Amino acid sequence: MLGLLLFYIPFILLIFYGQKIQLWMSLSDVSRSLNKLKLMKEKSRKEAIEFISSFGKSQENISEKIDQFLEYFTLLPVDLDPAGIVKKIEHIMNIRDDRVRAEIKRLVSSATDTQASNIENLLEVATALNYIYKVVRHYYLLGKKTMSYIWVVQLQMVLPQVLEEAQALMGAIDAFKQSQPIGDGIGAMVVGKMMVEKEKKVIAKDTVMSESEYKGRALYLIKAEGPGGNVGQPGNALTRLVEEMGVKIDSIIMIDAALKLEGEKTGEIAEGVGAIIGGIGVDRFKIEEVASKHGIPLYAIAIKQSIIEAISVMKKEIAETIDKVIGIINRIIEEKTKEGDKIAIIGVGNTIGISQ
Amino acid sequence: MDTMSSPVKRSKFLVYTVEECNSCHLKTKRAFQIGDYIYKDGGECTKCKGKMKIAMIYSEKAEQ
Repeated sequence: MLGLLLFYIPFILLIFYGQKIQLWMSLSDVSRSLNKLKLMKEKSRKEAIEFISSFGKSQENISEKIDQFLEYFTLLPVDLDPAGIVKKIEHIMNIRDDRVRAEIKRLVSSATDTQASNIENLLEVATALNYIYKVVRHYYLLGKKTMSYIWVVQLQMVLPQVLEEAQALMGAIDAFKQSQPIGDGIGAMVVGKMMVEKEKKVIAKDTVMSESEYKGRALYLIKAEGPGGNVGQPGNALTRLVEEMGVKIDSIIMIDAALKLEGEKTGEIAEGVGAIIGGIGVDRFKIEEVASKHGIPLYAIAIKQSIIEAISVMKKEIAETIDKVIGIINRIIEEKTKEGDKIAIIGVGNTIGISQ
Repeated sequence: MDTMSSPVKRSKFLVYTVEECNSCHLKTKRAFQIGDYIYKDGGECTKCKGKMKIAMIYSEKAEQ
């Protein structure tokens, strides 16, 4: 009789409490991931404080400022009436960038522009990790409070991806602290090589341009100004080149890092058409606007990599694609343009650790 | 790649700087040093005494 009872008790428990047991298991899994995120968030904050204090500031003085910085937010414009929203987004992002730079300059007045850009990048990483932790904690606590199985399981399902992104951000800290190039900078590295020993002029905020020549074609080489951690404003640069400076561009070639799909090899190169550029969309919109308005063909070259590789120190497989990419640029120029044409070549990406 | 020194260690990956001679294109690989950046002027070429430039900075998996 007792044996029979002991046999049925687990079934009865599972019938009435099965979902609750699963909920506890899921909550404990989420809790473990949350602790990992907390450690990452705290480490990134500590690294940022230590890095900034290396410029001669005491850690006590800057800790409070950094904590304020980590909570700093940017509200994107309302999109109920999306006409003209790109201009508004650009305006908000410019205010944000200017304010962040001013805060950093106030915090570390002795920092050079390159160092200020690197601090900005480092603080962005710490802010992103702080935000990820807070959002995950919010849904974890909400799930715990409501004891909603669906709520917790949804969180549990997305957490591996969230942790991967957080780990990628952690990988970026070393690169930003030591000003080492990251995978995302491969586009800037390619165009930077074409700009070496040529005169550079600032064409837009944090963006430089050089003029060159290849087989009777005039080349206009554009990239963010390095070696500080900048992405520049290639959209504004191209708009200025075509609309303000009146250069009649016949073709645009863009080079950028692109996220690979699982199974694709790091450093694979793909060609296509269109404006290859990430970010919030302002630069892509502007480049597409200029290209469509003037009927300029847009050619794209993508160098494949994972999200972790894109924001960690550049891998050998990515760096070694440089000569192959330059070869592809030359082939596109020869095949798609004719002598006397004017071609804009834009190297997209964060130019940390990459000069020109 | 004719020279190699002990590189800066960062977890499983090591970061290297590759310098290339502008004249004879000799490449030398060394450990990354703080202050290095791509296309920065490097030292003197050991082969032709030409000017070298940093051509690449990359991370490579550490050999176990």
